[in-house]
Amino acid sequence: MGFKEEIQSGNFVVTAEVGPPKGTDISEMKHHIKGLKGKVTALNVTDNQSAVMRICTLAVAKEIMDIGIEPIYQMTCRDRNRLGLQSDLLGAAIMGIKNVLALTGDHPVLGDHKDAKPVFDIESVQLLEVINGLNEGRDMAGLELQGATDLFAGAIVTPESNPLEPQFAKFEKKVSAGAKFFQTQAIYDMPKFMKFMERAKAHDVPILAGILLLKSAGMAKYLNKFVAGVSVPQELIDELTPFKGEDALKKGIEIAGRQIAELKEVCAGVHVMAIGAEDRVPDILAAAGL
Amino acid sequence: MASEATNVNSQSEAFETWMTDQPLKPPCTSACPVNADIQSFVSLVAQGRFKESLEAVRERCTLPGSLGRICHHPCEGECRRNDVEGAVNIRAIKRFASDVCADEPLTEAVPKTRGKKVAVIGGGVAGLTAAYDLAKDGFDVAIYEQNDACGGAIYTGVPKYRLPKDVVARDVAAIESLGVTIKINTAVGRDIAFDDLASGHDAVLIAIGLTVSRGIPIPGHDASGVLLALPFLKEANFNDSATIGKRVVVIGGGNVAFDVARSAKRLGAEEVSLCCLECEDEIPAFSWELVEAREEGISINPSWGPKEIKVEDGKVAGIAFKRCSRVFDEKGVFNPAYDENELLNIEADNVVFAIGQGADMNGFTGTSLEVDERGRIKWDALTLKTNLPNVFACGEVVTGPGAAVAAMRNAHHAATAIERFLTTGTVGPVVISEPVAIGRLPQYTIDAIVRKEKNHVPVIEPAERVTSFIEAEGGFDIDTAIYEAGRCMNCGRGAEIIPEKCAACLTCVRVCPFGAPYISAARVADFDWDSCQSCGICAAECPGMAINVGFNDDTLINERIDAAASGVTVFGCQLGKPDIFNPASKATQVPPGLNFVKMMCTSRLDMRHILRAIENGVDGVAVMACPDDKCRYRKDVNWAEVRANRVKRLLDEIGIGGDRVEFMGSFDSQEAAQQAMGEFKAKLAELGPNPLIKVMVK
Amino acid sequence: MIVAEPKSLDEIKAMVDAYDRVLMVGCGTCVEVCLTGGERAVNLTATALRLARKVDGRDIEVGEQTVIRQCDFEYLDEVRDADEYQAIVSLACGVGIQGIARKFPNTPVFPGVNTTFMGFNEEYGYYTEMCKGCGECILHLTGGVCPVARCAKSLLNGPCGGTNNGKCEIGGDKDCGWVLIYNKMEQLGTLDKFKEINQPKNYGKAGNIRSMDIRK
Repeated sequence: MGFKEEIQSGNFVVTAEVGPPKGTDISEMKHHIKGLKGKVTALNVTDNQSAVMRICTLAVAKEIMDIGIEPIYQMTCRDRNRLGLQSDLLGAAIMGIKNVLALTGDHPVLGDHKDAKPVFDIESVQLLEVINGLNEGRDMAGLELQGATDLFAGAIVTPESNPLEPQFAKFEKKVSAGAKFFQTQAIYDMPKFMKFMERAKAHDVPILAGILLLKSAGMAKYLNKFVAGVSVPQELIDELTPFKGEDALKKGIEIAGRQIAELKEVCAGVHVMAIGAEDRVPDILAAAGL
Repeated sequence: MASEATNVNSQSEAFETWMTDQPLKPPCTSACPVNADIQSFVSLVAQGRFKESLEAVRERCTLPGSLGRICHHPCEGECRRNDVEGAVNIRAIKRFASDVCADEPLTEAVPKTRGKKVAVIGGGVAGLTAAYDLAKDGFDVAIYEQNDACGGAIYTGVPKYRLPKDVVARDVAAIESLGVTIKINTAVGRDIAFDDLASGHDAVLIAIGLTVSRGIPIPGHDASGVLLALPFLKEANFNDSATIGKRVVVIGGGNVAFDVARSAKRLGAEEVSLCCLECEDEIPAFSWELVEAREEGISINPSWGPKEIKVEDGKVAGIAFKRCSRVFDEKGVFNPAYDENELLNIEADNVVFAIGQGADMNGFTGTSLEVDERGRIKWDALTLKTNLPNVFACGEVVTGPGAAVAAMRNAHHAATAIERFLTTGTVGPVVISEPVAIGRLPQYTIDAIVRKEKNHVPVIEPAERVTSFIEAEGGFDIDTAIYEAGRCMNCGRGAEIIPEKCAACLTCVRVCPFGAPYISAARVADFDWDSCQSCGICAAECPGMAINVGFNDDTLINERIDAAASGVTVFGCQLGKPDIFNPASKATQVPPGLNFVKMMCTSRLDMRHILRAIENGVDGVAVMACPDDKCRYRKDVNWAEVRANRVKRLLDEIGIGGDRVEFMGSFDSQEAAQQAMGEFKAKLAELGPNPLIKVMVK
Repeated sequence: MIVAEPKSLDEIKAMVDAYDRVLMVGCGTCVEVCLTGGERAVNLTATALRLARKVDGRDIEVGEQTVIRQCDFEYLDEVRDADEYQAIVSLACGVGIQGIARKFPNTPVFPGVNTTFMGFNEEYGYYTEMCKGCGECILHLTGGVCPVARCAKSLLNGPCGGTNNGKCEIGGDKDCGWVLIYNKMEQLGTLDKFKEINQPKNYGKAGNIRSMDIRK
């Protein structure tokens, strides 16, 4: 079964993500991808994540498919206008990519090309509607396509956003715009997440909880300071503090596994983010008992 | 309008211009009978510019030393500082300006360019004032004075304990130095014929005052020991062996009566009683005379009219008074009513009549001057002219008795009339501008003004001062004078907008601590002078340079900046602690090579001022500002510091280096100030001279 | 109004490096209000330029004038004696600078300021961008808060995932425009509208060499 079918039949799905390199040497990237084969239902490809310029998603998605995993094509609205986005969606469709995650995208000032013009011709909600349109055989201008797409569109949500209300309203907009699944930003606050899931249940859309591997206490502190919508509780930082290097990583894996075990019951799956440690995703899943 | 510009000369036209071009005047100027530019001269004292202050006073208040002691200061009554903690002590500041410049060289004679001669008969307050105005206009003026010195009533009459005669002489000398010829001991009629004067001069001004004391022909009035006020006062002033009886009764309630009573006390009288028709509230003398007289042990008995002088052996033994139940009738006319049944008997050795003065017209009998049946000169109050084509009159001889400053006012008008007559040959009504005063301080402005308590002059204790004719009241020392003058709020000298440059950006509205700026219906900024304190914060921030601030304007400040092309220029507040770098304070020494540019408050300091100093070639600029709790003007923002920092950044960009500018704040002591300046100079020595110098030398 | 910020002295100095007689012209409208280009700024900048050149051992004559606006020919006519100068530095906004350039086509005209945004004068010396001139105002849909100017990404359906305690992910303590919009619409009681999806913007209205002609 493909990702869409798995998720729609209510099976617990596991996704992970791969961040492409900045350059043409994809040997390590392919190595990581290979390591995840059979371990994940689908694999996200990030799109110039954090506004850092890397290989484009389409090309990497192809590499993933060649290795035999189903990609989830992350598409941000930061770098392309509506022509470019639609064009790339058509391109994804003919390449056999089935899943699209519609994102707005991080602002260029956060990345390594700070002077770049932020495009944001449309954003995630409008993009979901566009995907709907393409699936129905028409483009944004209302013109008939010579062959429609059949893309399974998802979006993201940040359950730990503060304030939550505007974010939740946006979530609802995404659902009305046609998001068929959600992946969340990293979860740490379990009670908060449970409350969020209670509210989200009414919208009857599968939500994959985001699990972010903490590699060290330092990383946890960095996330708290610099990454929006992610707040690592002090208890976890304290848990990690005594450990260094490989030991800290092992601890992080243990923590991640614990989190997954806790969340399993309430969500449709998990999205494991192990940036720079993609090869350890299997360990996380093992720690979770999956 | 620079301060110098307010040095209006007595030419009526210039004065009229000043009176009319600013529609609202400070209340002090409005209340002053001569509309003196009080706020200017006070400010000049505050800046340590004493000589200029004195000349500014003299423009309208022609006898500054004297009036600084005797003027009844209606200005202080209207001073808006009354609403804060107390009026500015204007009279004391005026006195200070005269006293501190007592040894300064006199002004040079004014060239007599008009080719016309004016005779002034009478060298009293009015005559001297008119002579001063006319001499400044270039006329050839001669004063004919019957006494041995000029001054008139203030010379012969006002007692020495109030006005020392050397002060009168000082004021007279300043007028004489303009080139006025003074002929003393010359009485018209006795020594020179009036008609000769009238035909021998292009114009004549009669200003003989009221020199004849009046008596009342009650029984006993011709006994020995019955005296008249003016001759008595003259004796007391000039005869070192003058004496008086032990018990003296003075009849009268005016200032002259009090002068008599207090002089009698000083001559040794043990019991001095002053009796007058008026009830306590109606007594015409200045209120402080009553206070001081009572302090000196003089008993004041209101509501009594003289009935009869008791005579024994041809000499005064006592005097009986009858109750005066009313002085003025229903029509407000002088018409006393008495109750003969209520009597007051006082034993006395001397009775002095001080009930009024009349004019001595003897010198004019049989001349062509027309005098009415009561001996009053036929005089037009609007043109100030007599019946004769070139003869004018002014002062008490025609206006009736009044304060010295009122005589000055009339004399200024006479000088205007004579000037016009001699220039155009015409005579017409003298146009008198009555200035409109700005309004009271709004409460929000009163609340914003920093409190500075009023200073008072020292006064000798009553017990001590009655023992002689020593001057009872002292003056300010330099630091107190500067501090007191610094309390002036510069009313009516506020910020002015240049409307075509104003973009209504609201900057002035936002930075003013006093709520003065607002956007008018014309959609440009305007300033409510009821509130404006002339601090100049707005002017230095205005992006359109659309604001001028009274006398605190750029022209003046730039002149002071341009005084130096090297060394260190210090910008400081003129109202700061007087002894820190206050060149006017004799207590301090300003280090050499230091150009101290003072402004009313360094919130006025513009970035452009600092840059100008640098461009002139100075090596460094120090900026001082009073501490937060002392500054009179700024709120929340230390503008001097903000602007100094802006200039520092700019100088870094320019390549001259921001190190050459330092914000120093304030110092608690002269030593601290000297040390900081020393360190700054050492730093500048390390930086080397201003890098622009070598370019300029090229 | 239009907000502009001063260019650095180094930059202006470099622009006029080849000239010894330069006219600096200020503008008495927007740039005067934001304290950047009025008569005072002209005087300070001209003085600074003159001093900076002196430090280099060279002279420069800098004329100083300010006209009420530089975006109307009638006001540009008030610039005097431009032919006596080799170059003009204008402290007006980009519109005014081009106005001067059009008025004096044979004289090099240099910008003395960077025109930045259309903004609100929050208080003395502090201005915040409020309008991008997008040509298609939707303030009625967003509770009176503009998402084009006040969201860093100009999103029409926000907030994005980067919103952080009411602040924007770009940092600098900037408010998240969409949290502002949400709060405003909550205050107005129009949250039901918040959930309506705003359609993609017509960016044709935000550019394409715009003009407005109301002469008929």
